[in-house]
Amino acid sequence: MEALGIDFKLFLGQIINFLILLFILWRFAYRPVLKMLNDRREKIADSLENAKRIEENLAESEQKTREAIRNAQIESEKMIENAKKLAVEQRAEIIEIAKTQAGKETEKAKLAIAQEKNQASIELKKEMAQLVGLATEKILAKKADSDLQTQAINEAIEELK
Amino acid sequence: MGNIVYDWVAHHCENGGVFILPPSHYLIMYISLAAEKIIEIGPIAITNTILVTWVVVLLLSLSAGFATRKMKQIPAGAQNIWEFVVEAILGMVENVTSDRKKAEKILPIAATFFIFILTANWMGLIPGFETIGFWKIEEGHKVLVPFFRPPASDLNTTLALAIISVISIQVFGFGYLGFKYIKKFVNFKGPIEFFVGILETISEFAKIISFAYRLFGNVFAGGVLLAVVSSLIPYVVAVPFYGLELFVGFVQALVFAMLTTVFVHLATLSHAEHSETH
Repeated sequence: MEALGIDFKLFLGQIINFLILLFILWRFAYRPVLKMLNDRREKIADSLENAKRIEENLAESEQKTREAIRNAQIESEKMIENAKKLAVEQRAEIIEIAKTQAGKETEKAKLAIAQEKNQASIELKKEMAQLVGLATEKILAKKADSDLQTQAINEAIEELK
Repeated sequence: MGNIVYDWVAHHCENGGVFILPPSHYLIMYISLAAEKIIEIGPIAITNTILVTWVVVLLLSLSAGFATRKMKQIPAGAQNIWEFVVEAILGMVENVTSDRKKAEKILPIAATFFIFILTANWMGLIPGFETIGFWKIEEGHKVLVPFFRPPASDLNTTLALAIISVISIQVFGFGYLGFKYIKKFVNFKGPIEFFVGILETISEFAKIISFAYRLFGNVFAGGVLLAVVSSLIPYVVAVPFYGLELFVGFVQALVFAMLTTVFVHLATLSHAEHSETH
């Protein structure tokens, strides 16, 4: 032991030295560094998760926007379609109305014409009756009296009716 | 020329002087297995290995304290180095245990072994390390007593480390398994189990010896090798040997830390788990 230099005091001293170093390194190196490493690890995991969530959110909102745009497009197309349909319907209706109106006007005109014709024929008859009366009077002035004359005229008018 | 220097050394030495000389200038090489005593403070003799141990402890403590004084999320400088070291060792320990929680518990002892042994070994390679000292007459020869000597080239140091390692193995084993751990050594189930228990006990003591002598042998031999090579041809030739010693110093630190880790891990496994892993 002596030749190998083993000395109990030195041996004990080295144990103490090493234990001091162990404590100091534990206190000032391993503990803070491990804490930092673990903290950082957690932080990185957190940020990765956050990034993932943000990406998901972004994708979702993009999807929503796209959907909204598509919906708006569909809506507008529908509106245009409706408007077109409405216009066609209205056109048909207007034409219809115009046609009936025209028909009515024609009818009215025809009626007026018929009335006029009637009136005219009545007036013509009256005139004719007068004329016939006059003529008959002229002819009968010489041959009959006025009673006969009126009787004849009345008969003639009766006949005409 | 050698003679002139030798005379110069001799002259001053008798006046109790202190010299800084390359090893080639003293022709009598004295290799001491034991660490040399430098000063005696009362009953305690301070050896050069103890002195270097103090320097290493001081340097590492200051470095760690400085590095982690203001920890930042984004590391820089010394904090970066310590984080790298701790993370690398933690990774190695985790490889063994495959359990981060357990690895974090083993980390302090394994990392301190690694960092302390590595620093001590590499410090021994600083030029002038084993060549700055004072002369002393021993057994009629004039010998150089260096101020600094690698701590691991002293059996006291390596035995101390080995004892701490083996004790921590037992502490971890008992801490994880409780009294089941003691059954590993003292078992009255049957004659075979009893005998195996005795063998296990012996193997724990053998671990102390193998830990202590492996490290001591490697570092001491490295120092002697460098001294011999440098004294034969002082220039250039020693350089590759320094490279070799850098490597040996690293490997020994790694081996000590890794073996401790593996033994601690094995001690924490119960018998069922133990046979499972094999």
